[in-house]
Amino acid sequence: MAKLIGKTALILSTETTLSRSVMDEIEKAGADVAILDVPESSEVAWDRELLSPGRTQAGMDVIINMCIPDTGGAIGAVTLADFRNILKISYVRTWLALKYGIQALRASGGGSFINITSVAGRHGSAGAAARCAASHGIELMTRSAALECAGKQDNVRVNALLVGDVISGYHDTYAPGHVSPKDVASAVKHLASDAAAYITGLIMPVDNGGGLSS
Amino acid sequence: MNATVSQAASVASLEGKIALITGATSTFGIGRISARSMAMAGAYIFVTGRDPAKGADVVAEIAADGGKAAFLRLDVTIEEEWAQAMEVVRQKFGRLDILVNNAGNTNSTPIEEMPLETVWYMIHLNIEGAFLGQTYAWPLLKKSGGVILDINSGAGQRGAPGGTAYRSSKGGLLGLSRAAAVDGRRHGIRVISVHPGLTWTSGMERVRGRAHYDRDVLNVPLGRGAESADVAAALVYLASDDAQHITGIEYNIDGGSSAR
Repeated sequence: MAKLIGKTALILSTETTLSRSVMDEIEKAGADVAILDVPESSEVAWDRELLSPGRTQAGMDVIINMCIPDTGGAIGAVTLADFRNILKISYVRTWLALKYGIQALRASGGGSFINITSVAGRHGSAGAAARCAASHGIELMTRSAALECAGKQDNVRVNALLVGDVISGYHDTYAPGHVSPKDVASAVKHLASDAAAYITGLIMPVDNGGGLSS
Repeated sequence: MNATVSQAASVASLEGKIALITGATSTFGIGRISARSMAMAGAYIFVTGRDPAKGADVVAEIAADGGKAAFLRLDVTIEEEWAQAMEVVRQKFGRLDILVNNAGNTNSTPIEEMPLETVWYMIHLNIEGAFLGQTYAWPLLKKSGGVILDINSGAGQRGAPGGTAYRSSKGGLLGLSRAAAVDGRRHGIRVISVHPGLTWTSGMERVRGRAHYDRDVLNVPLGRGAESADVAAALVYLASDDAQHITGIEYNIDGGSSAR
């Protein structure tokens, strides 16, 4: 089933169980993959990290951006500074990742950009206004970026996964809204592959039916 | 580049799975190409449709690829035929893993020129056809924790002139799929609404023609249409264990059309 053979992939994330699982899955599919954490939110830093001559020469086919925002907490209990910081490290960081990541993919003749954010923005969630605002913002940012790339016909596709609660470890059953890291990794693998060449601007919940009413 | 059948087949393994696909006999429709792709991915396919001669062609094509398939006559609007088809599946395997509700038709007549009969025809085919499939497959899907893939359309997510019969029926189908996903949850049955964008199929050739299609392509953000194999690739993934916790969603394969 290996179908990412010869592809170079970059995961923009800190080391987490989820990013590790995604890395293992796409590595198994044949990709050459690295994890990169860009802690800064300046354009200079992202330009340096994603568009350095070394990086461009190595080529870039798949970029996976982990951008699951913190919940923030209840309105009234969250300060503007905290709210803004959540937007900065998820929403604004995603904008920077898109801006420089798309250019990196374009420089190697095209590729697949995948945002991984929270499904929270789809339904609203108590105590998670910051997460909802950031993730729903990322959803529309993804769609807009997909249309910009499609309009240029530059062979860059942009899609997003909206993940539910990612539960690590082995479980026999998963409640609605709960998924495993492997579920997310499998969806990434599919969207990263050439078999998904016609899919762009897709916003795909990976949430075990969590968004459905009961 | 559009996906190919062998690419679609290599998306995930469907080894040991039993699938039934409606409307699978058109020369290069989504149903037939998905049947070939799923068979190459390892599934046993019940190829269904109204024309046994065309069905035999599809079964022979799958056999030539090294796959396993049988034809069942099934007009999705006729309840008795669903009962008969599912009885054959039950006797042969005792269960079903994948139901693809693919059969459908389109129409774009303005409302003032549209006869009521057309509205009923779209309901019978596009909504009731899938409803009967869900209903009759349900007991066999429960045994396997199976998946229903309802083939909808971008037309089921947006209105447009001439859509009062076709688009409304696809909207109705979307509601049906969502409700079935809720009902299916406690039985481990997944239900996914699949929305291809502009796709070059036998039906498209017959109903719209190449000239219309070429004009419609200009409205697709990606600047080109899909082939049936692009949709088949998504179906192989969604039907596989790789997607075991994906349910109740709308899956667009549309070159960015729904992003607008």
